[in-house]
Amino acid sequence: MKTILEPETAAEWEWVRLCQKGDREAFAALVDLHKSWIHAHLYRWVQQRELAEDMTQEVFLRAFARIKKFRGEAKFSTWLFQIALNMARDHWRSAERRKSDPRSMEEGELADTATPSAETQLGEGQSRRRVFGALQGLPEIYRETLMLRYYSELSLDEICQIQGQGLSNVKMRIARGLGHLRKKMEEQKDES
Amino acid sequence: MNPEELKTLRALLGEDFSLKEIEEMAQQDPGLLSSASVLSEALRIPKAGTPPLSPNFTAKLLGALPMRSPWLRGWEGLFNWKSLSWVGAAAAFFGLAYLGYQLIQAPEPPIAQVQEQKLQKVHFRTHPAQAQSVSVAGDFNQWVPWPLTKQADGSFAGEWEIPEGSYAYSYLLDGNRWVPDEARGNTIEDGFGKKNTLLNL
Repeated sequence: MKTILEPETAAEWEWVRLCQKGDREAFAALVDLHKSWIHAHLYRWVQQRELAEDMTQEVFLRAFARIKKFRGEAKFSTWLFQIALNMARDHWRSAERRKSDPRSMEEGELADTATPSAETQLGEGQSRRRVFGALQGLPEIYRETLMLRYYSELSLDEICQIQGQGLSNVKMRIARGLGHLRKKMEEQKDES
Repeated sequence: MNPEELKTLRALLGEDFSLKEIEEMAQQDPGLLSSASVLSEALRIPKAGTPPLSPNFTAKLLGALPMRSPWLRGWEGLFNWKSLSWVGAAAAFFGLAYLGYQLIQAPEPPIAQVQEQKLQKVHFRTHPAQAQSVSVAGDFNQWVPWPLTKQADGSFAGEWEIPEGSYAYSYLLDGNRWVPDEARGNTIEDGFGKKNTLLNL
């Protein structure tokens, strides 16, 4: 997966500049360049196919609406990633408010991501669904940090950059987050 | 501490965590150590984990972009560099077309003017009775006075190359008096009651 620390190309900067002047073809070029990895992150964060695609579309619509304010202090990919993460935060909060049960997710939502055998597929799907459900119940800061570390596979440096935190803080969040996750999974096991 | 579990926890946390940090974590939360393998498995992302986007994703997205108002488009269009370059190109085209038209319409210059004219060295010299400065002006210099240089004998003289032709000229004394060149003779009426000298080269 593309990392947010990858440098931009000269062409990308030119597209951004043209896009700021309202050039839709340049915007289409930026979308084609970034849509896959943005979608990949969103899918891992929400684990629902249609929702992830809708959110990806919304990320780019928001980016287009705000691109004149983009001054290049951060990389364009980092800026897009922040928009996507903010959308995910909103989604997680609203999901929390609704107290939605991720176990009620449409059957097969995760099945298409799976590995060779049907049995393994089912087993892994259930396991991932269980841990995803447990993650939803964690305090926001731990949930986000674990999502970034394990679902988005970001380095600690990248997480520090995204969250605006020092390395020791991020390490502490991961350690405590894993502790919370373990307890949450045990609770779920007891309930079932 | 079980070395295998410690190893699994270390793999889960990554190389950014030192062994000391991991041991401290395990001491604070022993359950973390025992569940490290379960967590590792559960948090593992399958390589083929993301379904593809719709093939027409970009087209759909572009269709969903807000339309700009025609007024705004017109205003922006007027002042962007692309439009300005088109306006510039159009102005240059019409400018060149106008110049071409003017050249076609303009009367042909006389052949004598087109042909390269030979230059003749002409010496002007005068010795007026009372004058502090003397200049020469005529058809050859569009009546813009050329100053003569005062000589040791009190006369004024100057020499210029002038194209062959026929010219009327006079000396201008002290900037306010016009007198013909008496030494050259050959005067003609100027139509204002005075005389000019005729120079044929």
